[in-house]
Amino acid sequence: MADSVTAKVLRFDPSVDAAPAYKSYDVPWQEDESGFMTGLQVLHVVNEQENLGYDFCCRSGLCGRCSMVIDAESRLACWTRIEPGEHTFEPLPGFPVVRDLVVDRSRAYNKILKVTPQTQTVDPIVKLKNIDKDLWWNTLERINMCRECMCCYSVCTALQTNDKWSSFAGPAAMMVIAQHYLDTKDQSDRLAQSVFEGVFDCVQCGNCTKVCPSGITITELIGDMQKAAETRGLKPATA
Amino acid sequence: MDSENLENVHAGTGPSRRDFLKGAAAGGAVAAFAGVFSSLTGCAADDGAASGDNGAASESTYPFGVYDTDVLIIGGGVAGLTAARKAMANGAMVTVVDKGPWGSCGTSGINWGHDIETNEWYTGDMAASLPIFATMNDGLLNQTYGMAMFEGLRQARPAAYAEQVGIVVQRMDGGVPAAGNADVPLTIDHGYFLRWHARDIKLKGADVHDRTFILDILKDEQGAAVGAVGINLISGDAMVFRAKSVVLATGSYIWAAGYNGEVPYTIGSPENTGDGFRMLLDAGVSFADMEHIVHDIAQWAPKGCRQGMGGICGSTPTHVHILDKDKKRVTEALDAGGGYPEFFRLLAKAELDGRTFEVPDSDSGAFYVDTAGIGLPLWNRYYARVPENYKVALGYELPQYVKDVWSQWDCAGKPSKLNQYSETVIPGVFYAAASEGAAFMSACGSGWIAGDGASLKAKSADTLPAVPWEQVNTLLTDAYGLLDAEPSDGIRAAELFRSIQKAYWSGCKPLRSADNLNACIQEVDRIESEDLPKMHVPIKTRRFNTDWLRALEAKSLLRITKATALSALAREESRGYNCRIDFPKIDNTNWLKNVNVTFANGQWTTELTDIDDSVIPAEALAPFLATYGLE
Repeated sequence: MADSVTAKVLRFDPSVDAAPAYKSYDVPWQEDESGFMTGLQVLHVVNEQENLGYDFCCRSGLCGRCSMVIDAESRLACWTRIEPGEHTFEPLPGFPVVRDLVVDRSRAYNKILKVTPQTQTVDPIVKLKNIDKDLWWNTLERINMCRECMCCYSVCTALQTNDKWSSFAGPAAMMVIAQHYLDTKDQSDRLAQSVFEGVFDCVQCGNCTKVCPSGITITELIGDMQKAAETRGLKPATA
Repeated sequence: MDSENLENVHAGTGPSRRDFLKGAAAGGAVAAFAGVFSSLTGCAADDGAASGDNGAASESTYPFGVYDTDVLIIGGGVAGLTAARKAMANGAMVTVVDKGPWGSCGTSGINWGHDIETNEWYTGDMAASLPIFATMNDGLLNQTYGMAMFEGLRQARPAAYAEQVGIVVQRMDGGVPAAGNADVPLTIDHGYFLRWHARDIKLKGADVHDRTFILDILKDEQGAAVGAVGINLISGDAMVFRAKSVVLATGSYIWAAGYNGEVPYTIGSPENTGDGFRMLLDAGVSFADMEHIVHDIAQWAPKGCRQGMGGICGSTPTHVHILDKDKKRVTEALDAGGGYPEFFRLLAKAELDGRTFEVPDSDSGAFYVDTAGIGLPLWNRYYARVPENYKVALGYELPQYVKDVWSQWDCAGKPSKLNQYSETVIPGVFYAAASEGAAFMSACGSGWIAGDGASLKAKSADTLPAVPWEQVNTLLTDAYGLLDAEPSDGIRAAELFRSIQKAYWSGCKPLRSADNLNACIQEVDRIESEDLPKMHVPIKTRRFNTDWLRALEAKSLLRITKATALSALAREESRGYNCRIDFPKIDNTNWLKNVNVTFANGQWTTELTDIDDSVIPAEALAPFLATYGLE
């Protein structure tokens, strides 16, 4: 019997359906020299059978639009290795569903906006300054590559379990703060900002770091800011 | 700029509209239309806004919202966001609309870390720097326009402003930025992430409507732009935008580039379907240089990641690593100098000479790219990370010799006539997009001057224009009709879309000939007359329906395929990105001309015009131009 994939997709069109429901699709196995299919490939085939609500753009891990839950893990569909067998496709948790695998990520996006992503300098930047190359390549560049995929928000214990949506900026927003904290050309007090944006809500569980496609060491960078804030006397009494 | 329209619009009873810095869009006629709300609060409903047309609006069967602004920017990529930045810096109220999700709009939304081509630290004379730009499409640059566009780039200061919005560009050994703040006519930094600009524009107060597909620009009786109609792709609701000026920044049409079994032969975005080209072509606007689609090569496996910017592409920085089937270099001629189009023509010649090898699923041959030694500082940041990404994300070991196949990624085509503010021949429509084969720098520069022009125009208008309700109703009836249609022998929209892509590639692929181009044109005509009336959207939801979106985009693909094929046919030589097997030579004596294509009154025509050589005469250009085509 030829290899195949069974794609079990959680479908939901809020404009017509009462509730989400799984539907399974048989996807013939397509092998190329790489030896695997990607999650996005599987969804393309499902869409051939029946129009599906899913989003994508770059097909190679850069744009963050195809983030979803595949086999219980938050990840980019185009960067998910699929072998023959049954695989489950579900939308990211913690966000309202637009249709099927597409969610509205505004509640997380607004948190990124809130922490002033722009570099704050008293005088406009005209010439670019030097930055230590290792700092740039190992840390700043990774943070700069944050795709806003919101996988980190979907697994964050502080948000998803402890319900800290009102006080905690969340992982990606914290990384925007961390970038400016580490790149000294920003002249605002990013360490204090991290405190006011709930850096101590982070329980250091490490879930976000596991799912970040950019390889940002989120947990460690938040931990660094927690320690530095405490040293400066900025740790809340209740933290 | 002109006040004739004032008779057509209401005499506002609100605050004086003389200074748009103060005026909210008073007069967004809230109460007049069934099922309508205005996105702006506190507007006194007045009865004049659609003077004489209230009956038509209330007869509309489709509810819609009316959104008012000074400058409407259609498209949120590099060009649109640069236009937004400039228009807002001039004090205008700005609305930005894009059919993708905010921050990830169009090709730039792939956010891979583009090159920033810039002249921002250049203190010299722009005319003296023009030869560099004039050679980019082998001499076809519109020089008057180029002067304005590249001066716009200089004022936009893209690298410095990138770091202002939070981008951190590549640092080389010693921590030095790649371009080194150099006082030169053209230099390059690496690491441009558009989403940081998107955040900045939203935070500065632009009115942003993403996931919104613009059907067409609305015009008044004099033919000047008054706004646009769109469909919100999440809800399926209709939106009417009223504006004093419009910036059209919808980007390239590269998603047309054939269907290779997974995606097109392009690293571009699904959003790049040339909708702005369609709007202007249908309005009779002539386009120049459509045949110069920028070619490249892109990674072929793994299939699921085929032709992605997250893989290894070709291009001039890596051209020394490109090898033929015998693992021999292909582009040695480029070592002595030459640019992008010459790089492409050397590869095209190699394919013609049988130096490529077959790969499954592709009708084009493949090259090798030798990635030995990949990493900083020899490779740019976007390639240096590729092996790690594939290993960590997919457990895939990138082979040393990566297989790359033809890819297309941008266009040179733009309206034939653009003034120094990039205004088209349609009053009030300002064009902003990559062109001239110069990608980032032209998108940024044109965005700057278009945003400048559009905000100046808006400032000169006292009141918002009336909405032409007949146009609105026609457009919405057509758009919803595509969704609701139940033709017999229906062809699913996604499938029809793919048939256009296949037709496009058959003619407009890298190696072109009159036979292939004519066959392409015939097929496009056949699809439009026979298949389009049968186009079918099986699932009728209005909520994020990508089949409906394909149906809406299909006509755009048909238009640009025909325009490109006709233009390629008209250029009977190999220059720039136009490779003609049947006309392999480059002819700098007779062919320093632009091909202009027009669709007016149902007829397509092409016309050759001498290049605009107002700064560097054609004779003086000759030493800077390539001497080889496809020979």
